[in-house]
Amino acid sequence: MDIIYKGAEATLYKGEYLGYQTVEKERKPKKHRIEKMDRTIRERRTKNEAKMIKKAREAVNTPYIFRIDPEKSKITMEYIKGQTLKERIKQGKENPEKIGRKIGKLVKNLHELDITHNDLTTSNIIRKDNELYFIDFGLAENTKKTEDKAMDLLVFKKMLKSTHWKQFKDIWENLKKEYGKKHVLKRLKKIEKRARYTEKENEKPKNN
Amino acid sequence: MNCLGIESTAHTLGIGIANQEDIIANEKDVYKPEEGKGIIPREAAEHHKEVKKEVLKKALKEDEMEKEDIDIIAVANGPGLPPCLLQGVGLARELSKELEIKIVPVNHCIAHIEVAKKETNAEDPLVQYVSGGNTQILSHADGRYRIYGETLDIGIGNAFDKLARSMGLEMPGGPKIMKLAEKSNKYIELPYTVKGMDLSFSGLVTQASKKHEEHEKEHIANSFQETALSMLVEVTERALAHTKKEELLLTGGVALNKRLREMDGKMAEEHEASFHVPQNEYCGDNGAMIAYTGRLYREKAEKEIDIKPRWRTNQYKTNK
Repeated sequence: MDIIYKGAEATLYKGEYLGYQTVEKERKPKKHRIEKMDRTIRERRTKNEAKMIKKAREAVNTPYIFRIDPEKSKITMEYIKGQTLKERIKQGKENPEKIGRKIGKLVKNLHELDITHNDLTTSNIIRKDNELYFIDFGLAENTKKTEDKAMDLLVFKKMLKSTHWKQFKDIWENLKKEYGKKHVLKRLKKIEKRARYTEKENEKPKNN
Repeated sequence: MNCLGIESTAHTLGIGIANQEDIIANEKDVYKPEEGKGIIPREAAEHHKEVKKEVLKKALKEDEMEKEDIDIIAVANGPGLPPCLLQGVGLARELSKELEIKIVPVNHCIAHIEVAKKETNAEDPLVQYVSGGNTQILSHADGRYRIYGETLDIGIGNAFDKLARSMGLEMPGGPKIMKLAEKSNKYIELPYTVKGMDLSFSGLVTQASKKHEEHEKEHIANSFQETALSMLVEVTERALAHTKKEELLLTGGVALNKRLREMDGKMAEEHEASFHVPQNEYCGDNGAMIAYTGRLYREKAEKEIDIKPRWRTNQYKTNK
């Protein structure tokens, strides 16, 4: 089978199942981890990912799951033919304000279902035609907690800042507006203040 | 051109000198908290105050220099503990007045990275910077070091120290936990928390501290170390896949951990990235890294500078 992508956690292979194009996601053993921990992590995340991808479908587009094999840490799912938002933003194919609003709406849907993704990045959102698909739910959780939802946003915010620093402001401001959940945004601010070396927004140290 | 660098952000009062070509002096004196206790900022500052003149003398003597041979001063004015920072910045101000020379403000974290790059010849690495208070995964892009992942609560070194204290071990606790862990190959499951490229250690420390009464200390040490380091290597691996960098550079005080080096090495190999660690002398806090970075960024020199306890790495504009 052809490798489509070799990520940090898993390798994706292209395949076919009942006439559908598929992706087989395999969490390979990590040599640097001790075996027992490695097996537990891979199995648990595989099961969790399949479960959460199904649940999240009420809120956002996610690939269909065809088969899961926890022992081999493998999931076979629908192949989403498209491009990641990371590439599209880098290539200037997305209007930052528009895409910020779209993502804000979808994350809001997800959080209203009490699901946090916990690894929201622009590499984990694929655009197929006019639709956005969320992938990579290995770390996702079922949670009602405001804190968890705020953390979910924080992970995305920091990723935006480090990867799309030029479009950061336009994407983030619009995302926040569309996301709208005041109590979560308020908690996010609080968490940021709590962090050890948090920078204040717009702070420009004079020695720069 | 001789640049004198002063480090005083936490435990270490370090003074180093760098000239045009290289680092020519690196002296330090490290504050040791009372047995079973963590750092008390005021006491650490008191220590720095007591030893700074002596460390300065040693650094100058190393290359048979006089104060007058110094052309510029660099000081780590953040991030760090305010009382400690004030000692370093105070000394810098004193020397600046006396010798009528300018001061380069240096970000402590940037200095760790710059000296590590110099020592290992890494060109454009993904940096894993791990110390007592800091745990960050960074790389350089467009004039700044961008932070990809970091701890959401305490630094990994402090996590090791906290567990060590709960076990009644002497400080610094990191090396003691590592030694204990070497005696065990048992793994007890402990909380493993990663969120995207960020991580959190407090839940892990709390659980491990509770469990050391029902299990042998070495098993807890081993399970804790394996968990904490696996979390760290996982987020680093994510950042490596994300940034597609071809070099991984480990630095900071926790870079002395042998198990971390082993894990990083294996992980980097899988991604066909080269793995680099500077000599021990430049992993922990030291004055030479401030001197070297000060010389690198000498155009930032000013007459008057202040402390910046919460200065973020990504706020420092770099040369490239």
